[in-house]
Amino acid sequence: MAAIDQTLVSLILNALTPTGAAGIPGTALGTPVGTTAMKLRLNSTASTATAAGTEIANGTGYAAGGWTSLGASTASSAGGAVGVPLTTQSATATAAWSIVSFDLTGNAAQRSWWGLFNAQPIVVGIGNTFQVTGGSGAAAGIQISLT
Amino acid sequence: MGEPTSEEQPVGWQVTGPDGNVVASGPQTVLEASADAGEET
Repeated sequence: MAAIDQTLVSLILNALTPTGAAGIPGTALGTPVGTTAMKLRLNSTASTATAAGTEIANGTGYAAGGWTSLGASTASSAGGAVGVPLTTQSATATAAWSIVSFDLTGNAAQRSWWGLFNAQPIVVGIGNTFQVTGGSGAAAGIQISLT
Repeated sequence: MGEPTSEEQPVGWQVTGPDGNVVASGPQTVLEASADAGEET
């Protein structure tokens, strides 16, 4: 299953092929997910390559748009995966959640990667806390690669 | 002779109750986006 937003796929292709004026490399890549801290958005329905799922309701430690203090992931080298998040993210449900998918987005909600949580849907009752494991590289709860 | 292998996967997420006990957990989510251009046959 694809795990990257289709808009970003085109941006990557256009940046690395002669799609610019007079055959220069395209400049479309730019900063498609902005220049400020990224977010991890949680959804109650499945995200797809074209659209994010329906975001869960706010809770304690989770506000619309997603978790914001993910920390700086260890950069990919030699084509390896990137682990997200560096810092464990936690939120407590104040209304019952059924968590299905996530989107890694720019600070202004520009989509990049998306996926379904393993063993979804994850039921989180009121007062219970959902967390995504943080860690460096392979220890992080979400592993992202492009092959 | 090889060492026994472990099937244990890293924890990707977990749900805890108000008392801090783990209610549920799941393995890492691994995204493998493909840039494979494929082949014509």
